[in-house]
Amino acid sequence: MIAVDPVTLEVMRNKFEAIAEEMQTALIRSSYSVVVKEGKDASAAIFTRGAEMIAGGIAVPGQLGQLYHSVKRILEVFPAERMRDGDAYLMNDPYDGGTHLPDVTVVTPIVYRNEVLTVVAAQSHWQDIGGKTAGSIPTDATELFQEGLILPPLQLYDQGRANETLLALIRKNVRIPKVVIGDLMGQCAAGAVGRRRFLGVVEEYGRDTVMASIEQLLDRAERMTRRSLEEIPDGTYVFEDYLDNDGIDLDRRVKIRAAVTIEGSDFHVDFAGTDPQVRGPFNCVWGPTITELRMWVRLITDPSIPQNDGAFRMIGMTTPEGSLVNPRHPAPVNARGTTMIRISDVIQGALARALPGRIPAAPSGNLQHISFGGVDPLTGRPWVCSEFSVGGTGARPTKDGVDVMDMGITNIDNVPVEMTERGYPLRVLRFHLWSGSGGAGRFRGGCGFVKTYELLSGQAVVSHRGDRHMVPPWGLAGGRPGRPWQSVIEYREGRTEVIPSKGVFTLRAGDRLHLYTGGGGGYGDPLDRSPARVAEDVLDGKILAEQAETDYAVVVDPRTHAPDPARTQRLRAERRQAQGGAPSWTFDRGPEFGRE
Amino acid sequence: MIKVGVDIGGTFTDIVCVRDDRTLHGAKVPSTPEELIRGVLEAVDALVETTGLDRAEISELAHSSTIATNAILEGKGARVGMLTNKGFEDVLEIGKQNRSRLYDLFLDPETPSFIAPRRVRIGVDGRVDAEGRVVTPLDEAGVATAARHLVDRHGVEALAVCYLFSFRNPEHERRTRDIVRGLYPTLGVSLSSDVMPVAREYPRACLTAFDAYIRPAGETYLRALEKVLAGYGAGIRLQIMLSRGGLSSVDRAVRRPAMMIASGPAAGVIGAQVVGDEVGIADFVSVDVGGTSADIALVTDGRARRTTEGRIKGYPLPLPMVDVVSIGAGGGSIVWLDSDGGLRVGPQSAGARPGPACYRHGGVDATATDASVVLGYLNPDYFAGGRVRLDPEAAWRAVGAIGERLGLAPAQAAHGIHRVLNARMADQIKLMTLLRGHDPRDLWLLVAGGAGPIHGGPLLRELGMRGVIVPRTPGLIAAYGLLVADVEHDHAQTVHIPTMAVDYEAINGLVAGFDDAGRRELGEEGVPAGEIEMRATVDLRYVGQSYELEVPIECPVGPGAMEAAVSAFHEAHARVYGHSMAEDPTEILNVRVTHVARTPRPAIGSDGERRAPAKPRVHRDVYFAEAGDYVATPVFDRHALPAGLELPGPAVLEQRDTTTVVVPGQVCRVHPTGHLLISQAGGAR
Repeated sequence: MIAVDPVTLEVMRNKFEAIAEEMQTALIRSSYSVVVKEGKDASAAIFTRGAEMIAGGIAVPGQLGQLYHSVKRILEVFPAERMRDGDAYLMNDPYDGGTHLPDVTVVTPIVYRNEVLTVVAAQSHWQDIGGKTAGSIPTDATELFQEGLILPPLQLYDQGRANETLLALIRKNVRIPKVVIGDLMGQCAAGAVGRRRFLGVVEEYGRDTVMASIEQLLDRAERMTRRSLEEIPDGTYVFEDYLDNDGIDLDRRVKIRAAVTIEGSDFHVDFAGTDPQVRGPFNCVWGPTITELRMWVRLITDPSIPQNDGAFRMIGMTTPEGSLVNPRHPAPVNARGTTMIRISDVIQGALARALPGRIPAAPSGNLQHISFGGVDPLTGRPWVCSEFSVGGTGARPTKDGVDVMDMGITNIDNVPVEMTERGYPLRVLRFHLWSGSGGAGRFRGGCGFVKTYELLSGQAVVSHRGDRHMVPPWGLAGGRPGRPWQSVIEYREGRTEVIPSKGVFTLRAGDRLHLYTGGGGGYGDPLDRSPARVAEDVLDGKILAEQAETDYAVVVDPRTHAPDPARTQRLRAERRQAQGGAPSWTFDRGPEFGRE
Repeated sequence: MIKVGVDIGGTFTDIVCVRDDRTLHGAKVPSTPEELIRGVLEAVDALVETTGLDRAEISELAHSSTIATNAILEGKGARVGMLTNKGFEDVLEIGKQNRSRLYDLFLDPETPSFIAPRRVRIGVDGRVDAEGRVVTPLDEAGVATAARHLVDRHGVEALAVCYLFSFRNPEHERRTRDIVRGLYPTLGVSLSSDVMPVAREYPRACLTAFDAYIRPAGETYLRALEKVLAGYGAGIRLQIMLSRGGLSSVDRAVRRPAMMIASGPAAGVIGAQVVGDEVGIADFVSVDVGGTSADIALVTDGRARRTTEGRIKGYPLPLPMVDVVSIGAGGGSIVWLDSDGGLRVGPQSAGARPGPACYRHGGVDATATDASVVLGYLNPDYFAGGRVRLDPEAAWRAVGAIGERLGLAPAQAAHGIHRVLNARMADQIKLMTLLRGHDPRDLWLLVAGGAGPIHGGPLLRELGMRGVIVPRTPGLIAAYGLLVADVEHDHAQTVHIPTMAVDYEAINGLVAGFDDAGRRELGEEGVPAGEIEMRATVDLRYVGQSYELEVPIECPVGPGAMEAAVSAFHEAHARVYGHSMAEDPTEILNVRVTHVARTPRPAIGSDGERRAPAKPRVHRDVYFAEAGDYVATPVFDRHALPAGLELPGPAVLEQRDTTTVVVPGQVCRVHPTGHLLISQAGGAR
């Protein structure tokens, strides 16, 4: 192995990242579906023959972190020694390295003088992969077979010749073959770009320099990550959190438990104690589960670490068989995104024990998906309108949370009101921050929002997939929990109904749907928040006027909007005495679920 | 009758003019951020002093200023209040619910709610639907109460009004302005339907808020400058560069002050566009390398690429802007080692203060400029024309310290720093062009800014581009752009209709209205009717998509013109996104009309008229990787080179505002216009 000089190594790092970014661009650009083009639900990366990522595009953390597992399975089934130039392979089987059926991975070998040096991979969320409902994420699925076409690792191209049998099979099993095949070709285009660029670098710098650089960059990321992890006190840190339910047994909460062990520079997570797999589609297989571990290792280590899989070599994971995080075939998995977010919350809670003062309180904890579908009574044409929503982030040990933002595995835009109303028989009656939804604390959790839709004509079916309606996002270090999510249907005749987080509902013209997205947890004792900031929060609608007194023990003069120092001091002293001094608990899930 | 261009930048204020001797004259003076007008006058004085120009000869001053951008970057704009529909007060604060940094637990909010926090955003009753029909009438009493509250209680100095669907029906916004004017006749009011009547409430609210935010300062500044100039010499008329790269009268600029955002970068790209035209090159990337950043822009078919998805500090601005991508790579980029001893360059910059170690301002970190000194690219006694005396020992010390930790000699470390910086710039140029559907290998590269011409050669080789253009005065490119920019006006409106069901009468009515307004406005600026050109474009998309592409359309619009526009859209989609869907239905989101009055190009004499022999000033030791060592390299006075001359590398060309390095294996040719063209020797890419 040759030693690469530090300048060349840094140039190589930039080159690999630029290649990945160009692949990512090609993937998004040349795809057809709205999900990929606008939801950016796709990721591209370069891997070693050992399925370690060398560089990845700027994709959402939840996507990029799970890709290696599919690459690994393809390389096990089709060993690199036997791959040839012009080959490509694909797969989506969640029980054989995949995530959920819509996520299809394509792997292309990079062959130089008859040797496979590396592989490039592109994963896209196909807008449809068959199964019982359009879009292939049926919330009421009870087995994998209802979720769509299952593709084990298969060869898609053989030295440039397409596997027409496979393509024909795919075309016949999806609802929108043109779009799906378009996306698949986008994945192949990304592979072609990666191949061309990577070989260009090999031609310029020579095979040996390139291969040595890869190894040295992976080793460097490992060393730097280990150095960061070594600073965390050794120990096992346990935390639990819950999903509302699995969409089928609505009254049964689903527990996720993780024991994070840090020993020296090794990072291991054991999910023993997590509830058994569920009947509904919230089961989460290996790839999407370990993604959260990878994201958290990245979040708590030096941000200048090269972004490759060397940084994750010290991660170990144990998942009990037959559990929510290691389901048995053929348990349904399509809605595992909700579970991924909760897994992230559990790791976060465990790390909050390991790294006091460095980890935020819980985020709102959900990416809510709402879709309205109906038939236009005038034209008879069907319409579908969908939207993803987030709540507030958790408060940080040094600052407030951010309103209406996610800092975890997802990152997706909302839909402008002016686009919703123009395109569909809906009117948005309000869309503003949900005052007081952020958990109280020395630093306040971010607020969620309130949005009300009214159906203007005909009938519409609302498919609602959410979570965190039951167990609130926890406050940390004395901070209070954020408000849980809530959705309410207000029928035209005046009756209202609080709806569960998962389900399908019917609206008629004049009915309204009110969405309340959750707040992030607070951080630190609310009695320590500066009274001036509490008064400003009232003025700026972050909290309700009465919360100044109830949550923060601050008396605000209603005329001047300024805090009254004497009365505030008195009230805070009383409150502190009643609570027995400084808070003795770390996590606060509210009166119903308690403190610990 | 002489026109001057004055560009206020972060560090320097530049001025240029072309005189009867058909020579471009320029001067640079330090910017005066606290008192910008003084800087403008000092620049004029400097020009008068260096060229012996008579003040009274100056009749026009075309200007780009940091006034708007500074107010935003420093958070020093007006106290703004905002009126919205009731229930939508937080549109400005919620934004798009996304984030720009994916792995950061401590990131800050990414929406500009600092302009108008919730306490000064008030919702009023009144609602218009997607068709522009009034669903709820405007609560006029509520408007008056809100305005009183904002002004009397919160001391608001400017008001932003952004109601839903005001681009369809602006009546509620206009009525609001009338009510407010009735109460506070001098209060500045920005209506979203005036600032930019296009769909999507969050970007429109952002732009309207920024418009109000910079309105008082912008207006005060422009009016004061106008007044000073009117009394200067024989009276000077002022023109302002707008973000789309066209000039405007002061009257129009103060009506929509947001259009002055990023006027300096726009002027720079227009300058580059004209230089390209002068050397007969229509397709190129311009990269302007300054102290802290490299600004990358694309010129195709001789026109700078515009975007309506611009940003400032990450905030969306749905304003026609010259499309500039900025990366943190420049002369001041700091060299550092990561925790494993890996070499990194930027994006942090030492800026102008303390600046590179060699600036003698107390900087100790090695920067790219220090590396340039160590490599022998820069003449320590002739940096910025000798205005800044560099300290070569400090540069060697700083770069040497990095080299020691990497186990490299100072020269190797310095060269490594340049290799890393060049790689970063090359990667960004590649991504920028590919994303817009162009392959960099088909393009030329124009290098501008004080530091640009040092990097041209390595970038040319790295990217395999066609060649490098070094303008006559790379450090004065924005000021030159001001001199040669056209006067432009634009109007836009969201219509949101399927292309299959266009009401041609309505569209043509809209265009005719814009045409009348544009011609009237240009007429008021003194442009003769015969010199006005009109261009119309439409933003098209496939039904169901949420992004558009702008394509030209012929007027009056009829089925033929529509069909041609749709087919141009399919082509553009194929170029930018790799495929098109010829059978899929399309829709028009926006109609845009631009009026242009061409500015005559000043005649600049060819350097070929000078017959100086190409004799080097001196030979200097310059490090080239090709030689693996320092090489005695001829150093030329750039302005003494005769046209048609071909200079093989290695060579260094010095001039007041920059230094050009010609690397071994490349050839530099002096174009008759005085611009330089560099290509690989033997025509090899």
